[in-house]
Amino acid sequence: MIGRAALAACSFVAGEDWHVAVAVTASLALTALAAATGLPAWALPPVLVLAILYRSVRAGNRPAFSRAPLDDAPPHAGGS
Amino acid sequence: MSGAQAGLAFSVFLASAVEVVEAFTIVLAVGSSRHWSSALAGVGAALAVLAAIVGVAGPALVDVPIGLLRLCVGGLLLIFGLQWLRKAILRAAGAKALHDELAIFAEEREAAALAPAASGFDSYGFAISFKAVLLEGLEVAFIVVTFGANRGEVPLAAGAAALAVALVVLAGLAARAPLARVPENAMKFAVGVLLTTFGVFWSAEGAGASWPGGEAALAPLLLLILAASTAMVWDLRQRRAKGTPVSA
Repeated sequence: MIGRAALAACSFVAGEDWHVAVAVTASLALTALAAATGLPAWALPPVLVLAILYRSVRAGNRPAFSRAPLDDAPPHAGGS
Repeated sequence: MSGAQAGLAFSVFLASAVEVVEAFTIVLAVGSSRHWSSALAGVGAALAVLAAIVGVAGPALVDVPIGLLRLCVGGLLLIFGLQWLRKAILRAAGAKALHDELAIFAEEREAAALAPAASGFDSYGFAISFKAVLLEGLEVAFIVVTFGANRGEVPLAAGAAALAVALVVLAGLAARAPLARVPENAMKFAVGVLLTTFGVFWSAEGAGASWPGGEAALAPLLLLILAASTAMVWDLRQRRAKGTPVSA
């Protein structure tokens, strides 16, 4: 029961592309590391986040060339 | 009201309005084709669950140390926002079907007509309405709690969401039809940009970064994410027009 709830919660936030969640976590760890070493850490998140978004968008576009455009996903979160 | 507060309220209002339009379409389809009483009971039950989530999670999160809160909740908001933005970019570029309230309304009505008829309490109508309002509402609750807790502004965030709910429901009742003229896809794009902007800002602060100019950095950050997202839409459209397969 708790496992299913945890899985549903993860699915709710991570949505269709779990790589985004992993990459965001890694980018925040990198930002924390940069901040701890005194570097201007604020410059990292925007660049990393846009790179994550670009990769995710390109991955999401790939199926369009192999099958029909994706229909709306079932109503779950992780973005409508 | 400061600029950051106005941004928070606007973001929550816009996100909530989009979600309420979607839930309204499904409830309208089920209620008009089955029993209104059961459909509305489903709406009421879902709203009670959502109110409990915001009522419990909101105040509890306010007590968490702000640095930890911004790291964890900001990170979650960023992941959530990126999912919105990804879908919005794919829709804008034509790589994903646009959200169409009229089509969804027709599908829901057809499904409701095929379901077994009920003489008394209509469990089908209740369940579909409950699920629609709960699922769409969970996104609103998540945004209200994360935005509100990060800024210590849960009442403001909840008020913006409540205003969106009231306006959409009033517009829907006046139209007595799915709100197909609401520019949902454009609104979702805007919400994706806003959630991602606030998510980047708060999670970076939580990770120990200091933004030059403090909250004034939100505006250039917003413009950067908007410009990059628009460029991605343009890039995808070009690739699709040329039929160039992408290699991620």
